[in-house]
Amino acid sequence: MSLLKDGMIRIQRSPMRSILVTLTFALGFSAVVAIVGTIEGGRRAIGNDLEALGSDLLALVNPVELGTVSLGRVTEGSPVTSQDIPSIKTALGSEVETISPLLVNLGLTTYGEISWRHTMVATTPGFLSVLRSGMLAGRFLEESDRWPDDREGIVPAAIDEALALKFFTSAEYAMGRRFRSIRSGIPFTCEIIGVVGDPLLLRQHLSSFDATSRARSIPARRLEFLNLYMPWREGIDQPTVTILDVDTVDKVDGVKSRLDQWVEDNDKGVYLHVQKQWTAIILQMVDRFSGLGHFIWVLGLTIVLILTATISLLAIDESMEEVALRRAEGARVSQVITPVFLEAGMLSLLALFPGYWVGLSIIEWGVKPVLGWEAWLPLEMILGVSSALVVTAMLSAVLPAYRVATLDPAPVLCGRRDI
Amino acid sequence: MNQVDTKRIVEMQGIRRHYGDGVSQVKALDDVDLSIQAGEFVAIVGASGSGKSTLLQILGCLDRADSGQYLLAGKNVLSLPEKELARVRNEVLGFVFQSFHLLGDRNALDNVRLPLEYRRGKVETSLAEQMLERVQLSDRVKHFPSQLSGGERQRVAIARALVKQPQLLLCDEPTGNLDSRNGQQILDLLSGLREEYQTTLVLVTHDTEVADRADRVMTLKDGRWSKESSR
Repeated sequence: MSLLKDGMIRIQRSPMRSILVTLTFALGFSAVVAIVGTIEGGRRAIGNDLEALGSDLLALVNPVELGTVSLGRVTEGSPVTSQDIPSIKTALGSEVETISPLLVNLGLTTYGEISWRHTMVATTPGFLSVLRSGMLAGRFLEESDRWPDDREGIVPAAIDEALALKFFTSAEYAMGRRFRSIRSGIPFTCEIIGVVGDPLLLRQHLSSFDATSRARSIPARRLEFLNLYMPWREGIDQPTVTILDVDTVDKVDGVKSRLDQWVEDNDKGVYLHVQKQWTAIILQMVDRFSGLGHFIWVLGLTIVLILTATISLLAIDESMEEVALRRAEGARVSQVITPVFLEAGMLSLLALFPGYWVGLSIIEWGVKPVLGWEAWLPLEMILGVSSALVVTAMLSAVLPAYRVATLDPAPVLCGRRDI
Repeated sequence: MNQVDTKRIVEMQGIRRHYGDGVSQVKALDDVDLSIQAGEFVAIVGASGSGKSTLLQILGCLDRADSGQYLLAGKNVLSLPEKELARVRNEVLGFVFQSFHLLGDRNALDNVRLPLEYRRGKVETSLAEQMLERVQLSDRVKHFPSQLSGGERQRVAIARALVKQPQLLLCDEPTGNLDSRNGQQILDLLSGLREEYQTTLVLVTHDTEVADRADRVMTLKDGRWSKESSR
């Protein structure tokens, strides 16, 4: 209790020094909170985006011939057809939620004075379960949606949010609109029955760069989804890609091995794309980026450590006489160094709340408007960075404490020069 | 008051303390013997640089001799670890310095209480109050050092030294920073308290008038005894 009182007295003795040290701790801590909050928020945003892309998806990609170049053929054999789907379902059992065939073409759409080349996807209603972002407006394709028998008929179609915004001002405005498209040289008229939400939240944030730089908008646009979803024509359409939506990510490996077996047993010449592996690569890259961020906050705390240690060292020089007297009066080394550590600890605890508040303000007013994602500081992170600050404070007290511990009281009290 | 186990409170033999090395070496103490009886008042005098402050520091366990033997209250203190030395300083020794060395942000009572904070158990505030009353500062208990005169500050320092009820009281030029009237009062107080508490008093001074009050005056010159006289 007496040592705690000594620590308090040390704080009160030099208010300006105590304020400076607390301010250094608080600013250092706010930087740590801002960096960690931004990193963790970014990780979560990217993680959510990847989750939205579907990390539990498998895709059987049929070979595509582009002139002399053959793409998608990894195994030797015939492509997957719509007639194969029941066989795949039987082979994989109940662990696969839906199997959706996708016929992907590049088409041209014209609305008013705007023409745009984009992808057109013929698929079954089950594909909705793959679209994690859900519908922004209207509905997705249903079993009752069919291609018209005559060329003048209307094709019901869902449209991606990004494509809807290119032609119309909003998703709501797009609903019920009709436009002309051409696919494989055949013109037809579409009516929009629904707008699919953009699965990439990150892309939405990155698109804010469009306003400031054309160059920056290129990577942003590459991430855009510009699909027109049309009904699958049974017996006519053949899949370019067949998407398998597995129940959960942890079942993906088991399903993949059974799918490999099915491909081998049925002599299929396809490329099996495993989304989980692709997202893992992205997450690894994100982790590397996070590691760099964590290095920066450790560096920040090291600077705080050096600054506060310097201030404390200067302060210790002022209290050498008191320390020497205490030693002469019977204080043990531990009893004179403990108040030094207690002072540092108390000041760091004082700095925690304002530091945390400033850190969150930096994120709210500085980081969020630029990067777009919310800060995220899980409880274990808050406890971790708070502990890191207190440890930094304790470390900053090591040098002053060492100087106190090794003080020779005799020359301070009696003067060695006067031997 | 702590019981003295032996009649000799201090027994030093062949104490040597040198600073530096080579040609710049200073022999602060060179083969010094010293024996002090319990309850004795010894004055150590000498010119500046004679080694008297070094001797006081070694007597007070604030410094260690390079060689020799030092028994304090029958205990070989030169071989004690630092933790034990701290206990000896707290329980056996009392210090009065020329510059008072009071804590500026503590009042007189808290300054006197200071040594008791390093003892086990509850701090006896009443003991500190009694000691301040004994040095005639009962009306200055809540005063801070900056609110006290030089003589009053030294009296607080004496109360701080005696609150530990030490067997050996070491005074380093206790009147050095005081005018002659206050100096005399402090010496009277020290003499009276020594007799009252049967404490051994070792006083370092270069003032022969101060030294004349002692039972025994020992003179140091170039780190060696040059003269000893008893009253």
